[in-house]
Amino acid sequence: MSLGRLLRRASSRASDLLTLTAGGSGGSPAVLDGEIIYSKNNVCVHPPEGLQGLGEHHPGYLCLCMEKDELLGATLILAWVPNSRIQRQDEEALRYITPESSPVRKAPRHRCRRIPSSGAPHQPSPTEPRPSLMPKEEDILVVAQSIQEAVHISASPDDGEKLALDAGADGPLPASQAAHRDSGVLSTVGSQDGVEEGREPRPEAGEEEGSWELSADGVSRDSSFDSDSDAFSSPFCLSPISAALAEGSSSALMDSEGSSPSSSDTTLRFPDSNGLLQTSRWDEAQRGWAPEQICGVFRVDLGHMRSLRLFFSDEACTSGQLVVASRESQYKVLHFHHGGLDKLCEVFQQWKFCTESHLEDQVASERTCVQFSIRRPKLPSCEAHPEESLYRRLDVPAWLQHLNELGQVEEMYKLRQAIFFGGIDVSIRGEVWPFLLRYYSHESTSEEREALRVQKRKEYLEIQQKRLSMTPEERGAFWRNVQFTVDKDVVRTDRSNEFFRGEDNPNVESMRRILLNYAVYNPAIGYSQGMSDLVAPLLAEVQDESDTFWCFVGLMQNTIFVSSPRDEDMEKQLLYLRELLRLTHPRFYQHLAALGEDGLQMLFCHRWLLLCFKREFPEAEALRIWEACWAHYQTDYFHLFICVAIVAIYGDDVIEQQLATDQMLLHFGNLAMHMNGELVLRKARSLLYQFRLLPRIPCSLHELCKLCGTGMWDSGYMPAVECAGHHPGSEGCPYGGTVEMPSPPAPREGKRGPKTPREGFGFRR
Amino acid sequence: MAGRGGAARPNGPAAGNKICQFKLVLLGESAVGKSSLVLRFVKGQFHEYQESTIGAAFLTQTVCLDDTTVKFEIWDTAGQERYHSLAPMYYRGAQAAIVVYDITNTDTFARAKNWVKELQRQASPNIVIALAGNKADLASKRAVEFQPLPHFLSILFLASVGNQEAQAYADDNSLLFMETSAKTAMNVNEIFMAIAKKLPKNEPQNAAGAPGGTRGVNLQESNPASRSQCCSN
Repeated sequence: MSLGRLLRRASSRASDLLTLTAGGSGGSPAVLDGEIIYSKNNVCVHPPEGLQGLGEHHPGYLCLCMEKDELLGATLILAWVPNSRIQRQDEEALRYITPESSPVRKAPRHRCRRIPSSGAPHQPSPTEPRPSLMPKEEDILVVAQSIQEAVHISASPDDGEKLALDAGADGPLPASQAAHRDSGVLSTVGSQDGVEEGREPRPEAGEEEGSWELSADGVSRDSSFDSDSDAFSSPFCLSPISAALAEGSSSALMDSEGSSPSSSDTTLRFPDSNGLLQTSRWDEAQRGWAPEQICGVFRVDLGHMRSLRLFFSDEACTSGQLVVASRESQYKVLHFHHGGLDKLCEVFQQWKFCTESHLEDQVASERTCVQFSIRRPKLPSCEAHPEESLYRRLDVPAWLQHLNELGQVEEMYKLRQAIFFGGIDVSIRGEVWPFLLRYYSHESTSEEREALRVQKRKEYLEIQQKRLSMTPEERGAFWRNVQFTVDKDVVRTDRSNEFFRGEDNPNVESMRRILLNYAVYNPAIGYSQGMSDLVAPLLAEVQDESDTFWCFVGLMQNTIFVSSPRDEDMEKQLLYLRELLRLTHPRFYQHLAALGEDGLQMLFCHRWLLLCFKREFPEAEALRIWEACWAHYQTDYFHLFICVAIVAIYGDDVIEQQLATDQMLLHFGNLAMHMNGELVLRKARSLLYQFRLLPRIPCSLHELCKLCGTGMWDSGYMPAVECAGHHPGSEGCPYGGTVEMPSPPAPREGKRGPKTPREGFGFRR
Repeated sequence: MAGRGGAARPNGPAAGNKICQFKLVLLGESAVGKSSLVLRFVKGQFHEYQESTIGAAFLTQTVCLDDTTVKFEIWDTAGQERYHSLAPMYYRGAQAAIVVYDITNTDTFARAKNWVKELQRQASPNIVIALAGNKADLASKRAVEFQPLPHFLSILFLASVGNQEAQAYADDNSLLFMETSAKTAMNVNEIFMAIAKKLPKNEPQNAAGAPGGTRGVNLQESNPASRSQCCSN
């Protein structure tokens, strides 16, 4: 019997029980502890960037077990075990993914009652999991279903809505899956989907072919897992005090590298899971090397989480991310690249219904912390930017169509539009970016560009010469103000990018020279930390040092806010962002305002603005965002719409939990690299579209419409401007009468005074 | 071996255990190892190529000190602060600060002294300040020149900071002082523990009934001294 079949068999009972509960049969149902009601393989964890040597994807096996819970009736235990652990036949890991009812579990086992054991691993019998390998392309989707294993099942026909967990019912699951299932073979689902996102899902592909089996005796035990296991299986514990008192609070710090044995006399103890950011502790046990820490076994009681959120990333709403948030704002993001999230969603909805109906009988004051929400990638069509799906990624043929025979860009506006919506194919970024960054004029011919490059290279070398021929005094000052920091920063910038990896990498040296030369070229700005983050991707795409330098010059000019030496520029950005939030997301704005000045400083988004989201999204997505901003399509402030989009998509917790300033920083900081860039971009485009539909805007946002030109129209876009009040140092609203509108009488309603009613700003979210 | 959830859930505070919550800020020149110290303290990790901090980061760590649970709310700041008007916001209301320098580089020590001065002038009057001479694993390079440099620079730079010199400065200014190494973990926990010991723990704070729930300003805010520094709006 296959493992999958076995799991399903076991699951069916649990789901029946779940239904029973939901059906309102009252009382506490006989919940079978440990019943697996959902499982899915190749659910990925992505380690944060910057950890070298780690693949981008760490696939693992996820399952949900049901467990009795006094308060909730039934709670769900979520466990995720990395494939690497399974391949190592790690008992502790396997224990989490073996159903409680599995015969292998009943078998006596020395030491640990739950350790799966089986007889002869190489002679599978119906009562034990077949030692079938888990091919890497294969996706097993096992969803609880009733015991008769019908294809379309409503667990209890009379209240079908309550449990419709039939795996074959919808989504991308082909009918053949049902056949597979009946034959008891591991069902293979979506094997082609694996590559669809253009990511290579599994770095350690080759190794995964190895078969694994739930064998008891042949298991090679790594002694360290023994001790790990306590950390894994101890209940996820949230109270600092009880955690502090908990046994075995084997200090993560003291254990790591045996650093501080001397401190034991101070009773230095670091309790489990109560530091807000003890991610590693939260995610898994502490020992071992980095991947083990970041991508180790993860196991929590979902009934004690603060929120569960599902972010669907595909149109069909089967793939995406599950974000689990603890009550202390720690996050775990599990990526479903190959579908199955829709089924999980159903399980959650079912469970939520069960627990809620159960809770009705309980004391009302006791409440579960779990909030559950679902984000689908589709924005209602009335919201989406109408041009949303008209553009594909700009690839070579498409790019060539934008050029005439002389190599001039025929219509820059069209090119910008295409890039804004579709992005640029990686292969031609280095060629197209110089246009967006205004190094090349779009009117230039190929020949002219070549001439320009030659001339600019000469200029670049002159700048470099200037740097190298400083007087000793100048050089000392330069070293102190610029070079010292540049030297420290270049080696720690984008280290995870192949292009900059390794010691004495010449590309790092190029990056260093560009930054130093820039500081000579523009001494007013000099070097600000973060500039290395901005120049690194340019260099990696454009490659040529001189060209990169001039692109960087363009970047600095066009996005002065990014590395501005002046506070005013940042202040201006924040002011616009606050106003935009007030307009589009008033609840969030009110929350900030309630926090006072500190809240309105919006510390959580400073890095977003300063680095243009570089550290908030994986590089591929971050660069898409850069391109969309650089396109200057319909606004020069698209980055602010991105900010609002992030808040709109990921900010609900902030409002619901009334997070304070520092907590907000933590909240969004933890989400870095775990947000869905495409979804954010779509949302931002939608926000821009809606913004431009507004008949009136507050004068504080006047600038947002001003600079980016008329596009293909004869006239610029400028809605009526309404004074929002507050113009210290000037009589009346400076924008009321100064709206630049080339064509017919600008309808304007300025000077309404500070008490302008807000109802004109209807904004759909 | 612990059971699988279910039975064993947190049971709330035990009697007699106090909880204290303190805001701590890290300040110092860029690339002296502020983030690395925090990362070592909070996660027990060290990254050779820790990326530069842009803006600020916020982390927490809880330690037990005798019968008291001390929760540090740690603000890790950017060494090269581009958005200057914010600096006071980081240390405003902080009960503790760690000012970090790099023992192989005197300039970072000078910068540290400036931070100490600013804190003494503008932060809460009772703030506990610790001085951390980081990169102590490079102590062997303290005496020798640590990087080949044109000789005109060696006068300005990389004359390293002597332990005694820093200790004397710390004594004069009533600072805690330790040489630390985020890389080897030397004195990292110790400096935080020393701060924890020195902080006043009189009034029991915020019984941790709802961690992560609504929590206003710091409970023990002694004096928001530098509010006037805030940017205009």
